[in-house]
Amino acid sequence: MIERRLSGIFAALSAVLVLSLASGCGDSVKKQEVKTPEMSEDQARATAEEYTRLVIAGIKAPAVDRAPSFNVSPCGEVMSGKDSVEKTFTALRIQNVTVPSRQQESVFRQARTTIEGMGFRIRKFETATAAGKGAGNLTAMKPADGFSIILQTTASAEEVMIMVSSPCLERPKASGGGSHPEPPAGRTS
Amino acid sequence: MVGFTELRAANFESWRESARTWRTTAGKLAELENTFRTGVNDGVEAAGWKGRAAGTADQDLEVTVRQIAVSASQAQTIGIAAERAASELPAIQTMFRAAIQEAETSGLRIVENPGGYTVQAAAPAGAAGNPTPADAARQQSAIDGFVARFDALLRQASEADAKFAATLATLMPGDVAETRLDAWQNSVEDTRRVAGLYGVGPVPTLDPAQTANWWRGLSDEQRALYLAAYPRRLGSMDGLPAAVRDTANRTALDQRLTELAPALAGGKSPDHDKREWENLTEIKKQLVAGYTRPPGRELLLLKFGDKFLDGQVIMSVGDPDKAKHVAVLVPGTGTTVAGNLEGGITRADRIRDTAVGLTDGKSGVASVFWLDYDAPEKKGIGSMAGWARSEEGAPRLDSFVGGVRAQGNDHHITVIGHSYGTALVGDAAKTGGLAADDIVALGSPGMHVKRAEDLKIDPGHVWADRSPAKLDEDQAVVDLGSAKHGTDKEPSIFGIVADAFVGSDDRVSPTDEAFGGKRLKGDADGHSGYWDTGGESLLNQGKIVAGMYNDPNPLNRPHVK
Repeated sequence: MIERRLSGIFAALSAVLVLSLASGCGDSVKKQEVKTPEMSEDQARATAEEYTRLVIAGIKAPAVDRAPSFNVSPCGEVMSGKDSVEKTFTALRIQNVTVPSRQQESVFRQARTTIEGMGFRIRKFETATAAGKGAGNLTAMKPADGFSIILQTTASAEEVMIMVSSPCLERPKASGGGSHPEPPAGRTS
Repeated sequence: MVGFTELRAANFESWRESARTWRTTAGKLAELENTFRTGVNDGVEAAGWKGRAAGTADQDLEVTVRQIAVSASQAQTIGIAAERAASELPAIQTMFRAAIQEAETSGLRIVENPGGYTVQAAAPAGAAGNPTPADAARQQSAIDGFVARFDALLRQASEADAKFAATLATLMPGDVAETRLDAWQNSVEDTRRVAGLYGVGPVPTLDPAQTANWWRGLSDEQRALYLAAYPRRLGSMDGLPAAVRDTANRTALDQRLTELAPALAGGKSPDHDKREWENLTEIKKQLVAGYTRPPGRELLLLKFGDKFLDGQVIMSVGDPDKAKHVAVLVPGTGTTVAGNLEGGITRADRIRDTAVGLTDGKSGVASVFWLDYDAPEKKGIGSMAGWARSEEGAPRLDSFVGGVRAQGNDHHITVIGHSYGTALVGDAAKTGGLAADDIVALGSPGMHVKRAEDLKIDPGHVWADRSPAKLDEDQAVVDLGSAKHGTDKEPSIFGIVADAFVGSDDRVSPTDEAFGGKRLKGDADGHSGYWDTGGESLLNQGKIVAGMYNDPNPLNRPHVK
């Protein structure tokens, strides 16, 4: 235990060292520079809607009568105080569908096939039935555009939440030289 | 002083009409204020007009909106006073007229004159105008009795009339339309005087449960007067309905910004005021941006303050009183109002959105960003390592959560601490004063207790997650921070050094098995990655907030090790 603790402290001190070297003052780690994909908020919304639509069509489950939510927020470390959604943003869309408890497992299996067919790579997939209730969860990511999908049985056991999130996206530059090619993103639903 | 004839003959219908007019005026002004805020201000923002001229226009608009707000507040108070007078005086008049009728039925005659009135016998007492001394005495006694009743009712009428007259004189209705920007202070003081006339104020100091009961016991009129006269005080009172606090705080925020503005414009403001201005301006900015949010995802300002230079704020996404599930997020080191409110709201949004997706959409979820303590500075190792900041703030977290609980609604409350914020949550819980159902510790250096059970909550409801990333900030915070925070008595610096040499086995982080809580299996990418969309850590938080941990199917429960 003592040895483990000491090795932990050593690792932590190493972490502090790495942080200091990376940022100069230890505020943040500069991650490897990766080109942020360019996409407007409308395009991100349309993409998330399309992925959701394809999943729903694949599993043949009716959407619940609640409006889906779509929101954008700053990329990365949202508490840095520097980021906003003016230049870059990440999008999150959530919509639920009705899936009877006894059909949950088969629907999740069908969802996996559908989502793989959409070009996503499955990162996690589980289904189980307990106390007569089926449930599942699935996490997938599409390497081509960085969008992710999570499917999760909800608390009611009769619904599945479809959560589609975008990677960090950069708003397209204005063609006419203005600084705001489109209205700054608000949070809408 | 109200005269006899005046009270007997007065027609109070016009008073009622006047009260209605004032109420309508107040409502229209409030609508106008809202229209300006949502329409004009947002229009300027949405147009992407950010130049210098836009800044000037924004200020002018803000001045206009605040003038309207002052007028609305004054008109509302006058309306309340007018309604009170319009209901009190007719009631007194009814009793007065009944007494007159009774006197006349008793054989007395009332003579009204410009100077007052006299009560006389309509006919001499006794039979055939030949009164006995006993008859005369009885008659005089009856006259005296009616005079006393008339005088008492006239006094009551005069008092009611004087209160209303004082209200009008104090609030100067003639000036309402021309209220100056610096009239806020006067407005509040005037309103307090008026409220005092009606026995309203000052605001009592009570615990959250008592506060909730006190508020429930007030009439609508008393509540309106308290709101108009003591917005700042009510806004920070744990135990009041969230919607009331939001209304009060929005008024108080405008008031405080207006108070600060002239000093800042003149360049004479001390540093404290400048910092406060920055903090409050950021709060205002978020509230204005929040006007477009849909119901259920609206922003409520539950507190703001200037006790610390970095500010204080409690902002909720969704109304906690209407929600079944409430999450309270306590941020950690380096968090300030001016720098991090937007980020805090984003985290609250993501937790709420995820939890809403996991519930049936009917029970409701609210997510609160709680920054009512002086979070340590990132570059101040002393404050980060010390316990003072968490211990100082912990009682306020207890009080706030107690206030949410006092609103009833059988809330399921989850308190989520991050980094140093988990130490504060530990300090709040270990006294037994934190009325939470679940506690979540993310990237925790320690919670100032050695075991989950020391948080005075079932250890099965204490959840902890740490980033699997190696050699990053999370590892530094958790492993190094535990030397200072992973125990139940604050160690001295000598103790920490000695422990390092001796190899103390005494330090426990919430993610250690020895702590005895539920260890979450998350995927946070670094110390601030617990709210990344599409991540297991965020999904786990959503499941805990939605209370899914008792689900018979393990796949629906939070993912634990």
